[in-house]
Amino acid sequence: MDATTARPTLLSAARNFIRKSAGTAILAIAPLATVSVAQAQTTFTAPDLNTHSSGDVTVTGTNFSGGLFAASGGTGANNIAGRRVGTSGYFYTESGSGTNAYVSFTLMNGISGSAISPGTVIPLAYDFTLTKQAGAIGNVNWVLDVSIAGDTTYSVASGMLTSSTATFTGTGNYTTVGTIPGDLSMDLRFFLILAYTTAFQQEVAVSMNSGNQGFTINAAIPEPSTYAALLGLGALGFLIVRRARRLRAA
Amino acid sequence: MPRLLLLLPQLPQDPASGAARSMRTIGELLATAGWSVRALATTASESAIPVAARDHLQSMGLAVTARPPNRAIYKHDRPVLECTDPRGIRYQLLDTGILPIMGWPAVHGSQFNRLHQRELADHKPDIVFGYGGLPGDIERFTRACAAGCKVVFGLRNHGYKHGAAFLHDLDGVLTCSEYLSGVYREALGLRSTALPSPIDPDETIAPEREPIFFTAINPSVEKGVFFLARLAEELATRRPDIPMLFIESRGSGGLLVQAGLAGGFDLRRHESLMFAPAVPKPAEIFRATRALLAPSVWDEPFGRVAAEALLNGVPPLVSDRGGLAEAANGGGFVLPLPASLTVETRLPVAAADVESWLTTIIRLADDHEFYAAASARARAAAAAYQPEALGRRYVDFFTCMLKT
Repeated sequence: MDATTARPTLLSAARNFIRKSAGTAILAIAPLATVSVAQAQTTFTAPDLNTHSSGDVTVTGTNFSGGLFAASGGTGANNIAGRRVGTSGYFYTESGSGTNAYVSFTLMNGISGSAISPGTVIPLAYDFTLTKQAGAIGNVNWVLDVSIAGDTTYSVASGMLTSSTATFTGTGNYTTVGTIPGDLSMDLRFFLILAYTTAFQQEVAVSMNSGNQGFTINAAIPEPSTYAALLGLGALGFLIVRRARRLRAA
Repeated sequence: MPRLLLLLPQLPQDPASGAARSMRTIGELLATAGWSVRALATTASESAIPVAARDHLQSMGLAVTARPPNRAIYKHDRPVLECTDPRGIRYQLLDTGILPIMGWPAVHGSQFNRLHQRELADHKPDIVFGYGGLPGDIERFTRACAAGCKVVFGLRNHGYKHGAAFLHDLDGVLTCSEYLSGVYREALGLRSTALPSPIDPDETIAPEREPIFFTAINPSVEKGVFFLARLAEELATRRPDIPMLFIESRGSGGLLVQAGLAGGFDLRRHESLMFAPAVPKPAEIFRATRALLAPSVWDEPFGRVAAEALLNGVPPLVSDRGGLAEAANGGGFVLPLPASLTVETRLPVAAADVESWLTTIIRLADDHEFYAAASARARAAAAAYQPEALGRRYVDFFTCMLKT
């Protein structure tokens, strides 16, 4: 068959096939024209949770309750989609006999889409609340590490819970060492490690308000003008407080 | 009746792992040939999206029961899922919950070791067949050797090239291609036997076929997205009547478009370029595929997709890298990629680099006699992958292992 008779055939056969198989759940074929460029950016899959513990007090994954959440944000200048992930669940110690617990929970976010070049800075932010049962638990030390397995690990922040509850917020950066393929073969992991001592079975809760708390990948960095506005707000607040104190004193 | 224990650190039915599914299919071939096959594994999966093992197994028609843990003795034990497949293979799967493959050994490794010891004592396998290079995996292979079993390692990727001394101590190493055997011979001086990965015809062969699309599966960096982008641009420009289809997996339609944009052209303007999300069975892809395009940039250990195409009478066009040419088995077209194209490349190749691929595609589209001959050659080459032929080779290999 010559080319002129073959030319219209395959494409029209393709269109017929698509028409025929529409709604049959065989192959959901669509024109490439419908692809959004946003799909080609680096994005993160829904997080997966993993727990681990060591020390005398055993805390297992079965004692995790609650759900995971993931909220998408915009895409930054590094072409990486923003994402806020977290959990509203909590851990509790299973054994009452131990005195040392080292608990970590890991949120794994598969990296898909475009590859990330070496030296790319990924801004991160954290915002979570720790709560402990009063009485039998000492201070809770925490460390937040961020890792891309096969690339490197950064210790982003650390702190201590000395009261019954406290919220910890802050920012950090992950700077890629090598090329991170966007083929889901690597993932970005948040490790929140808790270390504490307890006299008997007690709960330590890691909680986040899914509306605004969590771990944020590619957190937006405020523009200089935004910093100025924030400073302005702070100054205004300071003036209001000072005026109120003066009025009370008067 | 010879006895074999399939020992895997993950779900043998893992939808995200070709290696796990290949190992299971090998077990099925032996069971069909009259071997007593049992499997000890876990429910862990490589999937980025958590797999509900019980639901997944039940969707495959397996009746699953859960053996509750004896927490009176072992406080942190997990349930064990049990099922028997139609070929009589009895599966014991430690339910590792949400823990991933790399995560469960630290928490539940001792329970898995106890199950392993019991299996060695009760089933008394002649051969233990498995994979895994973590300390726990190696320890279990050592224990199997100590119990008098032959241990055969299923080597199916490049992951052990940089130090895996324990492989030398095992009774046999089975790879999925002569290519991969050569890689390990060169890297570690390792002796191994190469047998092509078995393929389940029920999942792979389309009952009816309409040879329409030139199909590329998983347009990712390692599968040649920067080559495919240029190929698509050239083909769609010169011959807008020839449809190309891209099946998403780790690589997406979006990634393909982005690859084109990096080269200064927008593939979305071409009506002949289409994409579809991943499908559970390869048969669905080959139903409407005229020819397969597999310009993999990285060194595929085997290139299973080329063998799947052959079984459907679909001529594969494969790159000359890794084990793809071997997998095509003389039934496809082995075509060059530019030497400058690597997994680090982030720009589409030059138009001249896709010329030989383009010429072949256009001829397969236009010349029906040429296409019919190519399809017949593909079917002939597929004989090597038919379960009967391949099953015999696997049975011969494991029977030989019994005698060593």
